[in-house]
Amino acid sequence: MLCSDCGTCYPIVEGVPDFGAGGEYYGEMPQETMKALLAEIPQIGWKEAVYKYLCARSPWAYQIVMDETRADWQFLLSLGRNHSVLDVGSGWGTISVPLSRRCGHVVAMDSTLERCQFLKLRCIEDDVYNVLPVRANILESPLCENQFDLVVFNGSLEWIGESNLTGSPRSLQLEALKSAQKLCREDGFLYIGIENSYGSKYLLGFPDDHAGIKGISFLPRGEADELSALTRGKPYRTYTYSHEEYRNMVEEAGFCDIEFYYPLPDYKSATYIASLEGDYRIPLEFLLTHLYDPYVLSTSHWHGQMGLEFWRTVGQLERVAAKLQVLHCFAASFSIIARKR
Amino acid sequence: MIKDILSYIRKNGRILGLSSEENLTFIQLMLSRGKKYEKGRVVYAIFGETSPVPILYAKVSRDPSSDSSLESEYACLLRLRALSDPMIDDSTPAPLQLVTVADRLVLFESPLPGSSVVRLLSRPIELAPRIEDFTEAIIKLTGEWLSHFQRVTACGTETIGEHFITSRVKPILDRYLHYVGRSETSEKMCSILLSRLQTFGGTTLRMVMTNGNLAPHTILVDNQPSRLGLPDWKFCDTTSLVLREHYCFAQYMFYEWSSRGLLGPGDVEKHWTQTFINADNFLGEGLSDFIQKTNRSLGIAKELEDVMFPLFMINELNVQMEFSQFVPDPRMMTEHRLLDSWMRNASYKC
Repeated sequence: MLCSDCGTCYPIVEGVPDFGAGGEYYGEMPQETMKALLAEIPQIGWKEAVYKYLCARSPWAYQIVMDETRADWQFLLSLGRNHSVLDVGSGWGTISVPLSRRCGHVVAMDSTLERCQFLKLRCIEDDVYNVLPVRANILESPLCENQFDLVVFNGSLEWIGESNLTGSPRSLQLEALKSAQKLCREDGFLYIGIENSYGSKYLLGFPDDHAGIKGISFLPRGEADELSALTRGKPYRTYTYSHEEYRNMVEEAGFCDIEFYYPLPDYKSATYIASLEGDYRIPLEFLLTHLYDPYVLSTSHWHGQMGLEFWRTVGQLERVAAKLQVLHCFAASFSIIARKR
Repeated sequence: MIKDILSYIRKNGRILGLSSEENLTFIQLMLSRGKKYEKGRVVYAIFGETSPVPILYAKVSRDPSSDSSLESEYACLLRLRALSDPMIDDSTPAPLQLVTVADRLVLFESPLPGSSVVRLLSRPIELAPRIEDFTEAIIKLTGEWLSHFQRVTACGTETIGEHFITSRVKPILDRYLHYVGRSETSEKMCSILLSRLQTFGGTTLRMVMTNGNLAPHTILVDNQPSRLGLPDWKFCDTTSLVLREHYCFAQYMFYEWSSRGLLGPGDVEKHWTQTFINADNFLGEGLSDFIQKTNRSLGIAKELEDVMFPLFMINELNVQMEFSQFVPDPRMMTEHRLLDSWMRNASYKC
């Protein structure tokens, strides 16, 4: 594939443009298992293959692949057939494919070739023709600037620090957001789905979603590094931030009109989304009184790490925080929408 | 999308029954989860500045190809309003408007008060009533509502005969055989059910409206509970083969109670046998009475009930199968075992 702009030639590997993302294989299963899964898709279909290889190994990951409600934040935005989207860290395509039903064109960017190949096969099987999986790294984006109406980081911004071990995770994350800003058209949007390092559930002892260590997300970074090195022999680089810190970072990257939403229970498996802008006391008190169900959380794949009483306490604390109009400080995660400045 | 909807509400508050211009906020609800994603909806609860509960609901299908379900729900709610029945009006949303906003069809409905039955089950132990009392109250409330609903929506009868079997029953069995494969066991079971049903030829069944998804998670109640609301009517139908109603309520109530450990120690199959075959636990006693009363009012005799219940279970398996897009899931496998269990215990053993 020849770049019409700079003349560089890139290979196409099994239908996937490969811009040489570098980095190691990343996935929920070993690379060899992923290859076996890919090899079976033409015979048994992608759903059956994912069921066979992933359901028993990781029910949580299986749910993430199969349950497209993960992309329901898209209804916060007015999208249509004339819009083009870049999905950064597209993984199994759970965001790209639902977006393709509303938008004109989706570029699904992932640095792991096997994931891009999976998405390619998924799209072929499901007759989805407007998703283009590409292997690339947002930090070295090969794409032309000013071409997307929306750039998405759903569960991927926190991992940027792991994809490049030189430099501080924050500066790499900021660089990724700046790159997204350049890729956005004028008035284009940025969407981020990410954890809040001060989420009440983390303060109460729910393990960090990335390092698996309790209490690490809100420690001073140096101490978090030491704890991570002691616990799992590697530094802590999957940085998450507070409401204010995200606002500053997104602004610094060149975005404005920043809006925060609370996806409940979190952005990965949201059943509810409520705005955290303005006076949010009424809707959030209603949500936490009449809709929030601690039993459902305590029996779900991921949240089931903690019991019913834990989720009851989280719900009660969040209801108080909503009443005091400080829930934006303690929400478990955020859906963030911003516009290019 | 939500900004377009809020802007529409601000401009058209009067049409939607809102008295003054208010700053509006919302919660986006994604309740129809699961793998059959594109068939679901996103629902917006809209809040004003003062009321602690929603002032309006807006429903949008995830995929425009499913917009017809909004149209049919709107038509159903209009029909229910036309009945001018206070109990129905009190328990169903008023259809306010079906309108295109920013190129998408949006159904606006009035809100209903209350929390879902399953939400109330999750109350801290000190706030919860005795589970036996709560169970009895929920079954009684639902039974009374269903009986009234079926009485006021009754619109003629249908006789069990060739046409009934071909148009209503055979498609369910054919879909089942298609999904599970035509094994000797599955074919035998379907053939037994068909021949049993044929012995009821000439029996008259009432034609009634159905909600089509009656279950503890779809029913809103107050804390007492003394008042019931049903916000979701996307599966509404008019039929003489009433399956996803009282049977659905009973089965899903069982799942909720069993999974929360409210039926004591034991696995799901043991609990199910106690509840639906022996009726020798508190849930089974209540549900058995509820099912029989509902069946009687629909014209279904005890012997016919023994055919209708497995037919419901087969239909439920079909629904599960389609929901999971034909990839097996644990619920489906359990339901298969429960169906086998029923057939082994039925008077016409399989």
